[in-house]
Amino acid sequence: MTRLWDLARNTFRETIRDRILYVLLVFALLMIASSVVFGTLTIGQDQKIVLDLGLGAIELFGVAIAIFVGTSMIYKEIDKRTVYVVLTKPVPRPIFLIGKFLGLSLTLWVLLGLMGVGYLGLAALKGVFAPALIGAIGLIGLQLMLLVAITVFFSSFTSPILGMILTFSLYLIGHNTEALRVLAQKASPALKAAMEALYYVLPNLSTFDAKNQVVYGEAVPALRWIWAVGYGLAYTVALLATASAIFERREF
Amino acid sequence: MKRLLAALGIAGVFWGAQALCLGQLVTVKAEHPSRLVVPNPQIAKVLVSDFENLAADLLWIQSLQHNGDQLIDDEEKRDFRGMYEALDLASDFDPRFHELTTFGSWMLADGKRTPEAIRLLEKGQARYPDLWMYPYQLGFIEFLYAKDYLKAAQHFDQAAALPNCPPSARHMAAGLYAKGNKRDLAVATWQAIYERGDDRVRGIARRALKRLGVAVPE
Repeated sequence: MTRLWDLARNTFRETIRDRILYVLLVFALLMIASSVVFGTLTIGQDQKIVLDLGLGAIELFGVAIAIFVGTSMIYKEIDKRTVYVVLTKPVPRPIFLIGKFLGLSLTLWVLLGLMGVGYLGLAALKGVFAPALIGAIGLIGLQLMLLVAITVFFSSFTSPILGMILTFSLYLIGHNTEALRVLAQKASPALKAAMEALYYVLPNLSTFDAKNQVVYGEAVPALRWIWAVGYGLAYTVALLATASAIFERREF
Repeated sequence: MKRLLAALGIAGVFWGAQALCLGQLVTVKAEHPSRLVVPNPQIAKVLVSDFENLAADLLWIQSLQHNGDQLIDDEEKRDFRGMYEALDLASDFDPRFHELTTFGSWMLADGKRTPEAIRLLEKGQARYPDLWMYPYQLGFIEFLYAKDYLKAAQHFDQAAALPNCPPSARHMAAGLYAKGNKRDLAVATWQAIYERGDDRVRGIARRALKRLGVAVPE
């Protein structure tokens, strides 16, 4: 447990020193603030624009950070040969991977917290603060954790560029998996079964999207939050365990 | 080896767990359907810039999917709010996407939003006054849903005067101007639509015929 915490802490320190994080954070905060200007372009919908743009900016910049930092994290260790220093000590490979994952996740939650404070402050200033907004940001955080797990999974067997492309593709696919179910309804039985299976294997990132409902003040059922959290955590653990199995067999 | 097997075991358990959660989420979402959400038109137009056709396609697909989802639900649970806004914005993005407006009007009227269906078609007609399909479709919507027979007849007349309009427009206008049982004409019209239409329109025609007390095989 101490080794896991040490690895996570070191990864957190390493990633938090990355200058690109600050550039992205500044851009994210600027975009959240610019929603006030965008709001003035519309008639009577400025509050909605503030809420929409802010949540959108938080998710987009969070995704950018997760993908850019996550895909190169393990490769850097291998490229700089620092992985040997760690793995020659009594540190099991799965602990190494999970430590890396936890470190970057912690960085993302800290950044999400900063962006969230800026966003919720702006929402409060505009008089549109609602507690459900915190829930929506929390779900974005879970989505980012899952994305980090995906980057760790790809990092365990592929190069950073390919990992980046694959993670970004999965991110896009993950927001459109519902289309698979619609298409499956019209497919032949064999294809339908294959598409259904794919639906359950591919990450369903729409699960973490409560932005529209929250902005429109629609009630999000409690079960939806609970199952979304359960899904996010289960998928993350499944991916990390699979990545550990792959990484266990990897030769450097 | 032991660690590998443990990792694979944990992976198996959690892949199963995530599928279980996703299954539950599908059920929860089906029980609490959300309305179709459309981006603000002014902002959307700025953001899509030169990808207007693509944006129209995406909105169109989103509308079709939403329509399909509503039809799975019980009639009282159906929610077609936002559908007009989505189709209206999509038609602004790609005005030449005529199918979007004509089939979109079927979806809206079938979802008991006839005035919006008419508004959408009138917008298309204003853009393309030489195209027969807009007054032709307006004739159907006025006749079959709004039940304004005179207006419907005028629309069919207008369509018949335009190039390439099918002869049925003239027949429809004549039938609507004539005094007589409009229910029989409606049944005959829906049957014709059912026989000639594609799968999606056939579904609408089947439901309409059912409402008129005419059984159509599934």
